[in-house]
Amino acid sequence: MEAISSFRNRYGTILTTYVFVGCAIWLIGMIVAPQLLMVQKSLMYTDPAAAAAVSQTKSSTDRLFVEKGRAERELRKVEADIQAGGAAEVDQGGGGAFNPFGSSGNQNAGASVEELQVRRDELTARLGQIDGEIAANDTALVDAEKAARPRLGLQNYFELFSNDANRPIFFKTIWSSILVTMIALIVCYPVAFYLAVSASKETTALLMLGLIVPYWVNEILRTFSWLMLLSSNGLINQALIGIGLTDTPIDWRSGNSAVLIGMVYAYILFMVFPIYNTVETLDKNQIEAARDLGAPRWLIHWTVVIPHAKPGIAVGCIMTFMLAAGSYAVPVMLGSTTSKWFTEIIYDQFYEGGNWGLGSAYAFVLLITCILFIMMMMRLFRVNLQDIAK
Amino acid sequence: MTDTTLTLRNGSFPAIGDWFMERLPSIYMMLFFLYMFLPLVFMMIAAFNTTAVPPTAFPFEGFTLKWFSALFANAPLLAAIGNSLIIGLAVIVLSLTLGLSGALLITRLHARSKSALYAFLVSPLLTPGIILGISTLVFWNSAGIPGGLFVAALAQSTFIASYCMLMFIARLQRFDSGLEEAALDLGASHQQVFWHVTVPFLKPTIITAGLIAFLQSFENFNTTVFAIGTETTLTIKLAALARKTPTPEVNALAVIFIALTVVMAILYEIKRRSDTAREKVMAERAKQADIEMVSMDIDKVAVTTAAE
Repeated sequence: MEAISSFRNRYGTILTTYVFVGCAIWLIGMIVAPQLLMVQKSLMYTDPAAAAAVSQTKSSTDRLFVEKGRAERELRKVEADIQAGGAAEVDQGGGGAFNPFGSSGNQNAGASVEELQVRRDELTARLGQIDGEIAANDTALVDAEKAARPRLGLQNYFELFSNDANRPIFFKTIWSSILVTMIALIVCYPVAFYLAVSASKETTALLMLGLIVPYWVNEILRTFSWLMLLSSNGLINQALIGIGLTDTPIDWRSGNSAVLIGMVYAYILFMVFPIYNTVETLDKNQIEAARDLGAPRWLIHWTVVIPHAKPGIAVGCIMTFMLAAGSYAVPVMLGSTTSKWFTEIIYDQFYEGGNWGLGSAYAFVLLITCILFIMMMMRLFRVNLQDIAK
Repeated sequence: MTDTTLTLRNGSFPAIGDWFMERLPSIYMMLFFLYMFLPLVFMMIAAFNTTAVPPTAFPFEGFTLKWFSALFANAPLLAAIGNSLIIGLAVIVLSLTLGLSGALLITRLHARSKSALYAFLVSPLLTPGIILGISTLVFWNSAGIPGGLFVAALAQSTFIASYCMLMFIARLQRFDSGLEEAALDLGASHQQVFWHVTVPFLKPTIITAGLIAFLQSFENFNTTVFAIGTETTLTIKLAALARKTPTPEVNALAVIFIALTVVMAILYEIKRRSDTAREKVMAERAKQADIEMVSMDIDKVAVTTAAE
């Protein structure tokens, strides 16, 4: 409060209101409250058996109503025929006897009044039965809906770790994202170092401009370019067959390889720029001094450049891991049903008839994983959040 | 020195070893750039190839522009572009407004809670995009609003506002608050100070941040796909098209996108160069002015001492 009033003295009421209301909407309405609601949703557990029972009872009631309608229609017809003193020989529709989808009228074609009366009694009895069944279903539905009501509990989280289909996918996603991060780091460090130290200023400006282009090209298009290259008659297979390494095209997309290749390509520049930014601030004289003192190349990197580039490496790793683990675009385009990514499982829970509670729990597990990774990197590289945001 | 040891080690072929070691970084960079650009180049070539399905760069069977006309005749895709534009404009307004409020609060608040606030406001940048989409979807759905353009714009703004905030903070850190104080002392109201001192100073950042906000929104897939519900945007349509039945129309769109990106990158570079040049001139002029002022002071001192 004191902060607000001093802010107001300094900047006036209108600006203070804008600043504080804007931040409150953003912080509470867009960041904190949605996350909390997602967590709350993830704690609401619906028993799948009870949910199945509900839908089963409902569809059974629907079926009974259809049957009831049909029986009632036939009953009316039979009663009309009894009044008329016997059913007509041939259905008025013409050729009704041969019609396999015959309407209720022709079933009793040519029947006597006695037969019709028997039929009427049958139908009345059946109608009574149906009414009883519908009533029983209604009471069962109340119980089933009570059982299927979402309850507070951690079952959605337990579900992930007891689900033999989804648990391996979760661990595969984490492990693969770490792999993507490591590949990107190994490939990008020399690039960033070259841009920041070796190249002349003009070259660097030109090369950076060159890198901005693929960086700003849509993620979908970057992934699509690899979809073309990796497809069964794509360039890579054409080349491999051309030089005789393989006779049949390799199906990259059935395994995880296409997804991993696509991810490294899609997210590699998120590793280059942060490392470049930190190496660039290194005083080049330090490298010169180390070289003059006879340090071999690897030692210069290990003791001079890398310690200085730590915040950049941490940011690059965090961004790459976060983008890879949370990527939906790349796996959905380059993967197949046999190489699902964790995000695809989450998507199915929200949009392919799954259960939002479960989806929220999976999403929260993914978020926690990313937070743990960030904390691990911050500990490992001894950097704090302020360094990262730079 | 490493180079000499290498020469010695490769005694029999010193020339080749040296030549290779010297050029290794350049070769590596060349390979890296080929890796970055070749897939895009092949994708662009396929847009002009007459081969239809699936699109491919080779064999190149003939030059055609028909995929571009097919693209402009694709009504659902054009409608999706419309949705992307609507979301993008909403995101510009929201992200600039929210990002500026966050930046002003963080640069001007003198409170201990500042770093916690900062951590919270940049946290969306470190959150996977799909989580932002899901949480926004769940939040608005509980208020009875299903996924759609509105929810997508809000979900995107959650993290795009953080980008804008960081850009505003960087600019505000170079702001001389003495200017505001001077204006206040001269009798300006708080609003006048804001509109005539602060906003003009922030204008370049407002423009670049707005542009980046729009691009981020237009390109976004991971957040949008969860928040959009049954609606569609360009990236979502594109992903569906590219995944299920890729036609060279996708490649034609890629050509347009990449061309726009290249043009914008070049414009950005030109602007950056002229900015640095102008800053250099300004710095030179300021230095000159300082010198003149100092010499004026000296003159004054000389005058006063002479008078005494």
